[in-house]
Amino acid sequence: MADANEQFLRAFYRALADRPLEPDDKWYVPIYEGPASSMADPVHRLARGMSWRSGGDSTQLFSGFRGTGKSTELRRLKRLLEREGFKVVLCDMKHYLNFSTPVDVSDFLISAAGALSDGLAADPDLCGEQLAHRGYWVRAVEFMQRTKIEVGNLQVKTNVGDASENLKVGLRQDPSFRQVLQEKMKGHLGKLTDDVRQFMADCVNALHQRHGDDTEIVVLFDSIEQLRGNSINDAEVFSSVETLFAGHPDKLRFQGMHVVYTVPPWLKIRSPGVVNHYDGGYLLPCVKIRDRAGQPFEPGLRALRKIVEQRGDWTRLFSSEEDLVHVLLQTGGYLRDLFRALQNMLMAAADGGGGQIDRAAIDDELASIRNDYLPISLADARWLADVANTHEAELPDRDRVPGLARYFESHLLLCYRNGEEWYDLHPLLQQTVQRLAARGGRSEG
Amino acid sequence: MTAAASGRPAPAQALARATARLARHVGWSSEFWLAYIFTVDLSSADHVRSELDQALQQRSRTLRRLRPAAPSALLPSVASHLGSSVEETIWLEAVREPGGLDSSEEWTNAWTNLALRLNERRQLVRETFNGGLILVAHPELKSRLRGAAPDLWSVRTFVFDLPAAALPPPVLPADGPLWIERASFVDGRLLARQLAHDSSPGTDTPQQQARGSARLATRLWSTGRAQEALEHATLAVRQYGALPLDPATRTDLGDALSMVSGLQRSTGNHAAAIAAAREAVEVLAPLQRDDRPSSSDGWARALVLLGLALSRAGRSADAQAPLQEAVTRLRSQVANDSGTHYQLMALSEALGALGHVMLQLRRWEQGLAYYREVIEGLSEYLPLNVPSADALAAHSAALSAALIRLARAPEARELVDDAYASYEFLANNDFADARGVQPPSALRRVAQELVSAGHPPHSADKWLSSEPQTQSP
Repeated sequence: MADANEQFLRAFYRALADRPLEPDDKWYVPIYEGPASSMADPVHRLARGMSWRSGGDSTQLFSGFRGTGKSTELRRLKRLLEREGFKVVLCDMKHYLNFSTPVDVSDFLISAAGALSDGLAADPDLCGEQLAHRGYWVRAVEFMQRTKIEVGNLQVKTNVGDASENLKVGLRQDPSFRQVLQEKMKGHLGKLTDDVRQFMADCVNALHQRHGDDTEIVVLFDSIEQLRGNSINDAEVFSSVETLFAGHPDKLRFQGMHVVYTVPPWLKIRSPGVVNHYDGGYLLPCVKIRDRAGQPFEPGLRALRKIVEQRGDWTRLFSSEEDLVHVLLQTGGYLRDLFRALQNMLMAAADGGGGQIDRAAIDDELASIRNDYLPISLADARWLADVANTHEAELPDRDRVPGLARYFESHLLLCYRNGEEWYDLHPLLQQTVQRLAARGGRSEG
Repeated sequence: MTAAASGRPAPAQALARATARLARHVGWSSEFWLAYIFTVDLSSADHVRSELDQALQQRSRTLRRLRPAAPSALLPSVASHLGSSVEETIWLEAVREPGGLDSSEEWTNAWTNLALRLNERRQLVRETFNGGLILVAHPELKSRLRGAAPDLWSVRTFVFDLPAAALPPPVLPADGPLWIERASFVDGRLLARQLAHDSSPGTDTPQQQARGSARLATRLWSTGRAQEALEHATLAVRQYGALPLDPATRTDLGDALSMVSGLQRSTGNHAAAIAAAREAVEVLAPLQRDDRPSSSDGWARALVLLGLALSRAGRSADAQAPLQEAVTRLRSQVANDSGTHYQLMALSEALGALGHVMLQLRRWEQGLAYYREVIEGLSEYLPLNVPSADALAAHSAALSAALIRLARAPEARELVDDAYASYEFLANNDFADARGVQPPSALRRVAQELVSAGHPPHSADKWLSSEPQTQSP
């Protein structure tokens, strides 16, 4: 293979590597701003939900499917709000929550306040050292000492600094610690809520003191959607997430502060009214490449074409635009699969000497991506086939939530939007699922 | 020592693909990457690892192989590195089948736990393993690893399902399409009388003489007298060729040429088989342009025969186009509700032949998909009888053999069980004809392969313990 060809293929391949982008990255394409996302950019909606709201506080939910650019879009939201003069703290809750065990409002509040405390302390432009010497963790230990809540070694005999560190680590890493904490807090939830609210208000006051009374504060609590448990306790964990957001919306609001929580996509399906408890709820869909009737959707395809063009010259890989569109349609607007497929196709081109690849080679690489999703059980196939036919993700019973979450997480099921949200099977799996479902139906008949 | 020198079969294309892709990737990428390898056969994994090791060495990089001896060591073997900066490529290998021997449930739990923990700390995983991380596990853990670590799975660079290189080559369907060459007689004495009648010279018109030659050739072929059948089929071609080529004669001539092609192929004369099939396609083509539905069956059959002849001559790439064309034509007929039993069987055979060709071209997934379509089509549309059960069994055997090679034995086991279940049904419902109901030997062979691979079909005991029977024609 000529060096120039090899270099081109390698550069294109590298440009498709999986990494979150900053909004000002040369490869960033604003796919959620235009008609590809039904003209309803979730990031702008979230930002508007804050800037248009009088009173300086709001609480909103944000769902993002894995691989649809959620991290990038949260960064964009942060950037957008900062440009408008907001002070924004991005708290990645994966450092504070244990995703494998049920969450309770008490430990969630402690974790959220602790995360905000750490976020403010770490940023010299926000509060910096001013908050670092007496952040929330110390305050939480003092609260427990005051209310005589005994959990592990957090009581008076321990140094408060060590105890606060133990609290932070215990919440994150020790399921039994969390369980005991949840039990002990049951009679003190009101007091704890008040204490957390007071801490949040103190933070707002501190920021106002430093940046002016008109300063509006935004806290983005990210990664909460990753609470999923394991094969043994997933139903329990899902239920706890639902209870947290559907049962305690009042406790998740904080005075003088705009808050965004990232929540799992299945929450809206399991609790259809949950968004009504908040000031807004938005979901980051896949890029829509077909409409509900199955017809190719040109604005979505145009956006994806632009994304590919930013990364490399696809005309050196495919002999026609038809081939590119075929790949775009087959990967369902799910960017990671699109990039993975293109990477495989670049390798196939290299295998063949560096020239363009034909449709058969393209289909071979798509088949290899499809294989990653297989096998699919008959029971899964039946339900997925129903979704494919109706585009609705109705749950026959609540026990199916872990299954639904699994479909979303593994991208067997993709979510699109035209005004309302609708669901479809991953295009690469359409035939397989329909065949399996038919086979399952026959064997039952 | 090379694979060939060690007496093992040459590595399958799946191995070649995995090794080539990994080698190229380490040359092209310098960031974190993650690969999953699923296999039942450690020799396949060894082959890939050794090739990858060489590719890395050429770039002055190294591969570190981790093989925890106990389930409890699986998580620490990786977790102990987290937070540091590992420039080597890490190969973590523990191939244990769930539900098998050797405390495998503990291994399954250990793998699940590892997946959960790595998923929770995926950012750290990405920051730690700069040289890449490869997880090598049993294929039955694929769904579990995917479900337990969806975030990690979503950033995978590769997933390879490696074949079991140590197993014998796949069993593919008998040479030739079953529906064309199947005998349609049951009584030997009646057949002898028919042959005598067809052979006797008469005062027929040239058209009738040509038809007589063709009929005799068909009957002779049915009795297994291929050489004599070829002589009479060739005579029929000459006789039809001497007639004015109206559409009816053209159709008959095309069919006779198709028969010559099938007979030449059955005697191993591939060049002549290709030439005759090609001529049949050419003779029948004008009728397609005139859109005569009655000639479609013959044309599709000629295309299938051309594809089969090319395939048997080792020209799989050339075989693809005519088979694809036949499949397209037959699919359209079946989809338009004009599909007869004959067309359904023809579509099955065309798909089976195309599946075979795709496997030969190492387009595994496409090959498997064509075979699956055949099996599902046969199960769904055709009444269960001996011919359809035989066709189902032949294709199930072929697909299963391929699946075993792709380390997907559980799927193969399910297919083999389904195929045996058809015979069970026939036997229990008194469907037996003069030949008796007996699964073809190809199915038996693949069932035995599954037993050897540690995935015995549920039906194996009953069918495999009986004496093998002669395979049906």
